[in-house]
Amino acid sequence: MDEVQATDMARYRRTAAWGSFVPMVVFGVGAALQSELFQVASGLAAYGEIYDVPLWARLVANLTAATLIGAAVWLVPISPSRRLWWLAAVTSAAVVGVLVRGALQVALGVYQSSRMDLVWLDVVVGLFCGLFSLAVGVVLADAFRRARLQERSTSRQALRASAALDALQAEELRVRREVAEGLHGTVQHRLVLVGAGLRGIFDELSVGDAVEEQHVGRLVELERDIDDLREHGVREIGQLLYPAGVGLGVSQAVRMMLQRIPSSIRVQAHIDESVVEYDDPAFARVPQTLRLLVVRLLEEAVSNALRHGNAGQIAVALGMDEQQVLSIIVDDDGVGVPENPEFSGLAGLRERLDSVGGALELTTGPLGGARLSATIPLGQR
Amino acid sequence: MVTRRELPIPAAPVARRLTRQATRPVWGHHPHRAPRALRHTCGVTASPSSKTRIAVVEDQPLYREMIAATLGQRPEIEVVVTADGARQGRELITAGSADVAVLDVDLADGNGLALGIQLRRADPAIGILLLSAQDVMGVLLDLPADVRRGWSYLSKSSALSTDSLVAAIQATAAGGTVLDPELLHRARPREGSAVSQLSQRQYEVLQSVAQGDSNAVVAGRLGIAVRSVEAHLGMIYAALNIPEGQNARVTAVLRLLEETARG
Repeated sequence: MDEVQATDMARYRRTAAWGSFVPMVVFGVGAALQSELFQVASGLAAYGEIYDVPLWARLVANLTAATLIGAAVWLVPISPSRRLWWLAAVTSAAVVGVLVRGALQVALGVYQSSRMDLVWLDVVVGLFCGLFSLAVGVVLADAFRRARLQERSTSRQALRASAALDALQAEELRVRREVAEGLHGTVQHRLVLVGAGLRGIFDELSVGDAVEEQHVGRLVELERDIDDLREHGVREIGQLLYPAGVGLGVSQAVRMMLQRIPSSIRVQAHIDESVVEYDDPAFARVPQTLRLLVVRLLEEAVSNALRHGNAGQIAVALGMDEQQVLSIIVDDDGVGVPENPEFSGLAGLRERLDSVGGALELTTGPLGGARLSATIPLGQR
Repeated sequence: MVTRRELPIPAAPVARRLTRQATRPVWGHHPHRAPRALRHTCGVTASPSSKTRIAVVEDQPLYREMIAATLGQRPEIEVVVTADGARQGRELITAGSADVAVLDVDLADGNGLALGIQLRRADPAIGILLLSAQDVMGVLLDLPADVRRGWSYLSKSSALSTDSLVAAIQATAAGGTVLDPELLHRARPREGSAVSQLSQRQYEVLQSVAQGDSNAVVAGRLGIAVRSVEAHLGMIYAALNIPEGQNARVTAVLRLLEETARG
């Protein structure tokens, strides 16, 4: 039995104990008072028809029985697999409690010596009350426990779902990284070889005489195409799949992204010391999926600024507050927030941000253009 | 085309070694006092005959062996450790065992940047030279504050000569920062930045300095007098608003990295 189950069972016993004790006390006090009132009201006691019993004696006997039953329910150990055994044990305890009550009443002189047959009647009524109280306690405890289990399974399910999402994203990133590595390595290498082969043919051709001018020209063009494909195409696709720096740290990933913005655009970047310190590459506290999200966010903001906003200046600020919420602010000097902002790219990002507890906002910025500000909580993950 | 370069003359790197040593715990809470006190002793200890001890961490066996073999043949270099990954690197490169760690950034079991930071924290005197196939030279800009100086970067896809690799290792050992020549060549000054305001000549001087060249080498490369190089450097510091001092050279190199873009 693990710890959670142990506390669960302790709680179950406590609920069942109080659930049995309270009705039993109500019965006991009620019955004692009723006998007392009945004697006074009927006035029969004065005629000696009914034996005059002091109230305290009945109370003591009844409360003792209630306490015995409650204590038994509280103290008898229970495990889910041996529930029937437990029920039998507490039922016997209840019976014992009721018999003890009868014995106490006899000892305290509740019954007239001429009417000892009443003892058995009282025991039967007591048994009914005791078992009823016990049933109330058990039913109550069962209901509470079911509610607790339900709640726990719901939260466990939510946890499982988010863990599955995390695993899925991590796996996606791993595949991206592998494909990017393949592109950088194998594909680029093969293209180098193809280029070298072409160059070889070209060299041989230029030595020979009867070569069509246009063929040489096409070969040269082809070789240049392959070089371009290798230098730019393959590298850019690799970059798209798995941006450089994502495996190192948030600041590094952001810096790599910023350095790729063409030099004709003014870029002011401020990566706060707190961010560098938090995602220190030696500790790598920020998951790669979040780093990738930050890069995507910046890419979206920058390309929106350049494509739709005609911006010539971009200011990027990365900061973090004491609650370890990362803030990303991108300002541009473009045409500003359009009347009908194109949220196609941002919609997907907003969704991703939502799923990690972040937020995104598009407003007018101090540079005259748009300001995109986003937050991503990094702590307590 | 790779031009063969002379080995850096210790004059400038020694000044930078002082910079880095100033952060060593030897001087406790008064690091700014240290350089003056040590100016003489340093000149003596930096004997050109002493070998630079290097550790190589590279996960591709062929590349690792090639680096180790090529560098091992050089009289000025001693390869003291070779490791196949981050974990082995952490185990084998103990504090004081190497002057420079040559680290591949993309390791199978981690990355060279994290390893370099860990090594530097364990040994504040070790220089770190990063190698990478992918262009991640910008990592030098956002290093944690406690390990910021004495990092260099070379690209694996650049056509590097052994001479330039040795030169970069020695400059790094001396606390300097060396950037990859080919990547520097591809870089363009960013619009509106202070670096874009430099004159053509000043830009060339800074580019050469960023490759780890001493003033004499810069002078030889550009065909100007060493004095002119010094004058240019003074103007560069002024233009970039860098206070002159031991850190100025490295700071200027990092500004060049920060304020340029590589397509």
